[in-house]
Amino acid sequence: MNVPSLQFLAFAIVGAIVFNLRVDRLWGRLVLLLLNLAFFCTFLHGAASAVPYLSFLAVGYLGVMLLYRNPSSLSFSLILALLLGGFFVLKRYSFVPPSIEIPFPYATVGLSYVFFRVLHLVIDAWQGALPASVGPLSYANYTLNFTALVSGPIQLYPDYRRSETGPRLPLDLFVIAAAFERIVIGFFKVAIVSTLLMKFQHAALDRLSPELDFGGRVLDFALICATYPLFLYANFSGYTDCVIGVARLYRIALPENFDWPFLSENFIAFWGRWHITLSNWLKTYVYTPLLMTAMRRMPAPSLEPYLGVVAYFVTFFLVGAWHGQTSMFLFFGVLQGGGVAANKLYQVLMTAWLSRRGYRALAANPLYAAASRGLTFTWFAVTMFWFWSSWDQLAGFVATAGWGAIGAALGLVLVAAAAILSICQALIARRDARAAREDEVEDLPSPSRYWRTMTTTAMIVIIAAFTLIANGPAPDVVYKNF
Amino acid sequence: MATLQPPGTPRSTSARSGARRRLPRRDFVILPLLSLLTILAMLGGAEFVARLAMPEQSVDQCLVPDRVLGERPRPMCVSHTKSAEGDWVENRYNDCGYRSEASCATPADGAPRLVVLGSSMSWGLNVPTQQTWYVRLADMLSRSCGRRIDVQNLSGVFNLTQIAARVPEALALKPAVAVMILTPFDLEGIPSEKFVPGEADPTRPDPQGLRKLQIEIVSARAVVAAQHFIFRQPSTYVPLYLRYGDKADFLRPPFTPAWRRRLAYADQALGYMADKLHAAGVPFVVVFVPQEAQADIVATQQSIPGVDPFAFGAALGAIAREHGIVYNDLTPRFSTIHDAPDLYLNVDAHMNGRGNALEAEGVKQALTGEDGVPAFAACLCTTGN
Repeated sequence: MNVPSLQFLAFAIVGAIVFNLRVDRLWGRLVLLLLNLAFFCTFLHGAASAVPYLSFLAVGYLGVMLLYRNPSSLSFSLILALLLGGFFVLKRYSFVPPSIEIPFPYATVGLSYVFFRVLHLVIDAWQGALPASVGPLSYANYTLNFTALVSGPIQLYPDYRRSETGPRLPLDLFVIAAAFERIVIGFFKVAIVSTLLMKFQHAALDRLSPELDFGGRVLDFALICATYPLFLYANFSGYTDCVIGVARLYRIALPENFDWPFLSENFIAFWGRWHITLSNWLKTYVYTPLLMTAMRRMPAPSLEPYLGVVAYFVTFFLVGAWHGQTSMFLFFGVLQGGGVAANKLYQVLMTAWLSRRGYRALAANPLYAAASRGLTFTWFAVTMFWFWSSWDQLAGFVATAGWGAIGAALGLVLVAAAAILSICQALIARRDARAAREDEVEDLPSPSRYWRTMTTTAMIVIIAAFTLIANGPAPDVVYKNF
Repeated sequence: MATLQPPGTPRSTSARSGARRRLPRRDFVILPLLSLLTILAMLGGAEFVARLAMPEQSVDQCLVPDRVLGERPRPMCVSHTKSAEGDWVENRYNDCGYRSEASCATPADGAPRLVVLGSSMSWGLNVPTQQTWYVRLADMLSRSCGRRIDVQNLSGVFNLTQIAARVPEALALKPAVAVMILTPFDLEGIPSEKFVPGEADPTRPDPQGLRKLQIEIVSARAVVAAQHFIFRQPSTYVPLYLRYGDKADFLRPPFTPAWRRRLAYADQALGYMADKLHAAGVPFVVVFVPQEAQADIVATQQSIPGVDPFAFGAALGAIAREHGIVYNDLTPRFSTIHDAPDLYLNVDAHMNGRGNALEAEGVKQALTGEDGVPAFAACLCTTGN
């Protein structure tokens, strides 16, 4: 079953009605389990194809139980090795010997996201950070939660557990309307915005040729470069909007994965606002332990900022490398890690040069902030070439466009991004200020629900017309492949 | 007053989740009304844009009422028409009211004359004159034969009875050959149970009530624009077309009683026309053009249970041969054409300029083929085509 799709939406709505028929928690958990299993089954080709996936989950569960009762380092190392090995085998990483590959087709839907959930439980169990023992029903519902199975977001167990044991989240007319609005926005982003952006990029790719004049090559390369991050954002954040809206119908509050990432003024902040749950996971389970260990081994305070640079590089190299099994993705990891590390190093050096206060004043300068936004977007757009193309294609771009046009195109992207994103930042700040005022004034007449009813209806009409006319599947959610 | 929470703003959700919120009573009316108004505004906007992008002039100012033909063009009249999907067309009618550049008087240069009988597809409806099959055919034959070919097009938006009624008029032009393009929808609206030559065009009551509303909606330009894009995709169009019921049953052999009756009617009409033409020594050529869904099925090599895209053309071929008509079925030609929708005005259902080129080829093949018309077979030999 594709997510998002009309089938998924129908499945989720019917499930939500059944889920909310009764108030008692056990009913809800059992209904959710059935839905999770039914959803998972839509990705299977026979019972055998579920065995490797379920075995991985079973190993994870036994590991959590074992470590919860006996949190020894040896057990933890063994379980960690087993899970990492299992993950690499199931994901068919290129370094896995063919002799241990599983010789039949099997399900891998959302395995990376399940892997992060399981690993988080194992580490927390070992560290004694789990609030309580994890029951099999909770474990199955948490790891296989159908609303977040395909491409996340990666919810942490305590947050999920709150939906089982904490106060029930309200589900009134307002919440349902907001959830549906979120679902429609998600559909719109995936089906319309990302489709159009993909078409723009493909059109620019088709146009780019050595016969074009210099201006044409600059413009086309700039479009190729700038549209992909926007496409990916519309595609992935659209999916996320959709599943967050769906989960809310089950009284589950999935974590946000995006917070206007392209408005970030530096690359470190960008990764705090893009695929937030993944970067938070890695900050919690890689960056922090790595930095702490390094600081224990090298306790000199003057080294501390530079250790942070190294820890950032390792963490975000892993973020990049996680996306795939080829050398392209390893290099993508180097560029992500390198970008974040360079950003951190720049902050350290600028703070040393200008003082903390001076650097803060510089960062607050609107022109500096606009340039930083433009640079952050451009860097991310450049790194994306290693995400969506191949080494051969990259060589083709250089041969076709030429270094001169590529340089000019990147300059154009930087300037355009700095200007456009700064305008967006100003508009959003104004909107947030207005929303804050409305929150303060209890009875302020708000036209927003009328406006939002109209925009949501308009989006539904556009989606329906586009689906009917295009008669093709919406672009797949890119992140379901990871 | 509480408001719906904007997406991605958990701040507001948490701020108000504790309080019991109520939607003002008026909003139960206002919000659905706003949705409805939005839909209507969007449909209105779409219609406006569609009318700008796809203008249409369906009324041919040259047509005047006729007792038998329903409508016929005034002689020496020029009109401009346009289907929503096609280009502007200048319709020039000659001194006899035929859609032809040349006069209907006997050609002074002794050019062989070709008369066109048939319905809208023969007429080249909604296709610019220079792109019509009969002008293309005349050009091709002129080049092959080394002499001008005179074409008089007597077709129109006619049914088989009306087409047959024009045969005496066609014979008066002393043609070398009579050609007719036949499509499945030419048989849809047969006038009565039995073919009666010269029967007057029955008056049809204007649609009323819901039927009228349905026609208005279907003919809205935004709907035509949407249909245009949808019908261009065989994967959507073919299943949709097959759901038409009787209209699509010509694709499902053995044919239903209704389609058997239509074939019997065609047998009588074609037999009547062939007898008249052959008696005057005029060969009669019929070229069958498949309906777009039929062409799509062949072009995409789909195998659909119970559907045979070749059966109807073959049935008409058997009838034609029985009456000594030279017959060419273009359906199999689509097995080598991969962009069948590009040959049709997809909503209008007629062939476009490219489709007319295929028709011209098909007629030329029929005229110059082994079983073709001797006068034109000679042209084939001289050019080595």
